[in-house]
Parts: sequence; C-alpha cells; structure tokens
Amino acid sequence: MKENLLFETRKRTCPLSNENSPKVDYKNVKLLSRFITEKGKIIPRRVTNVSSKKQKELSKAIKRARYLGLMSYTHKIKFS
Amino acid sequence: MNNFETILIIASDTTKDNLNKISKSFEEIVSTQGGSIIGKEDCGLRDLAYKINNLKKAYYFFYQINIEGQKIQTLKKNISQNEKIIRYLFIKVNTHDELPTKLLVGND
Repeated sequence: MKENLLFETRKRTCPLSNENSPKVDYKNVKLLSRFITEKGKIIPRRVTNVSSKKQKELSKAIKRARYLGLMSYTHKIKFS
Repeated sequence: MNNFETILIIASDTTKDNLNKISKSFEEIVSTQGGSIIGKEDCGLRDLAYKINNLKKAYYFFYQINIEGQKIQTLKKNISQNEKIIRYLFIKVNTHDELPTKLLVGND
C-alpha cells in the first residue's frame, strides 16, 4: 500500500504512561484539570490519547477531587 | 494491616482550640483501634471549589495511617458524630507517598 504523504501518520502515545510522567493522584488538581473541559466534564480518551488503564485511574481521581471540593463539578478553575 | 489515606474537611467557622481537639481526638481513636499514624499534614484554610453547607472555605487535614481495614467503620462512625467535620474520605493505598503532598504545593 502507498503511504499517504498528505496526512502524516505519527503515532501518538499516552501522556500518562511514560516513565517520567506524573502519578495520577486526586490531590494533584493541576494535573487533573488538564483532562477536563471548560464545563468541568471529563474529556474522552480518544481526544487526549490516554491509555484505557490510565483513563480509569483519571476518572476516579477526578471524581474524588470533586467530592472533596478541590475541583468544581460545573466549571474549570484556572491556575494563574 | 493496610495503608490508608485520610482527608478531613473541617468547617471554617471552628476555633483554633476546636481544630486541635478534632485532630487530637482523631489520632487518639486511630491508636485505640490498634492503628498508627505515619504521616500528618495540616493544609490549612483553603478555598472550596463550590459551596458546602453554605461555606466557601474549609480547613483540610491529611493523614497517612496504618490500620486494620475493618476498623475503618468505627472511625467513620466517630467522625460522623462531629458536626464540624463536613466531609471525609478514606482511601486504601499500596504505599504511602512522600510528604508534602500536592495539596500544599499545587494550589497557588
């Protein structure tokens, strides 16, 4: 098969499965807020390219952070 | 014996003496139930992301404890009797992380 040169097929890897990537933790709000929308929804992993294992950890951590009042249910809190 | 992380959220209108009492009584209960406290962190007064019981701010206490899993229920019963503790969370972890946690570092 011919390679399609118009569209570059670069393989994207999970941003959380790398050796140096930070640990998913409900206390690390700065990391978690990278994976929610402006309305506070969890972004699907087909967009962020997170592996299925890490997405499970992530969604659990976000829900814990919401319960503890560290993150909002309805909007994103911006860090200056 | 298993490792647990605990977070207590205490209402912002409590006095300092009361705060000390709450943290001391929690430590006492843990030790009477046969557990031990490995790490403790006072995260101070923090903004809440949304109003809880009409409060905008609350005190956060973070504990790393080592205790039998079945004893957690008695701890929960004891905590829920105190009205000043608005929320709490127990989480089982394999190993305890190093202090300070991201709670202190991250939110500035």
